[in-house]
Amino acid sequence: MAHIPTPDGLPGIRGLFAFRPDTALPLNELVDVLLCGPNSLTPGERELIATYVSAQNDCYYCQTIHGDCGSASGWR
Amino acid sequence: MAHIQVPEGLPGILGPMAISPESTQALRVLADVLLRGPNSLTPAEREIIAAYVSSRNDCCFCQLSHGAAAAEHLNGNYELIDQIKLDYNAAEISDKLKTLLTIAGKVQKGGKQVTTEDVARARQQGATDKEIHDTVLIAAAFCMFNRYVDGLGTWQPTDPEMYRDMGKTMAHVGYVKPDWDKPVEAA
Repeated sequence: MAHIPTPDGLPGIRGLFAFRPDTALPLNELVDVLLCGPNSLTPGERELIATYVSAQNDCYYCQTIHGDCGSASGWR
Repeated sequence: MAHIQVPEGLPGILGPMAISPESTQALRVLADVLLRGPNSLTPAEREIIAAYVSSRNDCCFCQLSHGAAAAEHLNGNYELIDQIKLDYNAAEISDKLKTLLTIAGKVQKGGKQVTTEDVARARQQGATDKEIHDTVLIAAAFCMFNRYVDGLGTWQPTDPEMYRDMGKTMAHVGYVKPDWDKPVEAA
């Protein structure tokens, strides 16, 4: 159980975003710019960096979700 | 010298921000929402959390700039900020803020270090769910900012006096005005 009450059924950061939409917005904008914005690194490469760091931090949710995003981007 | 080429005269995060406007805007908005947006925690309390975490991460630029912002919110009480960094339990701050700094300090070590007991102690001192959430998020965000500033090897002046004007701008103008990153005079 989370340390604060978050809506049922929302895993990881999604529960926190639902709890606090005001901070969710700039966080989502940051992630969008970093991982999907125009860049000489492909989205796949950037998701791989995110997944790798999350794995090093032993964060199950983040390494898994960004692993899936990377796979969808083809890791290219 | 930074690991990448950044404009001269811009200390800390301002150098990398100058060459990456797309991520800069998102980072500025995040900082402004976290540290100055409507909140039951005062801007001073939130800047104190940011400065404390930055000091635990040994990030010179971030602890001095946000320490200055915190002090400027408190009529220039720089001594209090120094005391908090040294030993927040002995500082003249509320018991609630002390429990939140404990949580922030745990986040700095690792998210999983925060215990139910830490959270319970904060609740006993009147911390709300939102305040606990924001404490963890500010601490986590500043670990990110600290690693950004240090990871690129930015120029970080060590003279606290150089940060006073910056602290005034951060406290009274905020993070989203376009001209807050003008080149500064080197010490």
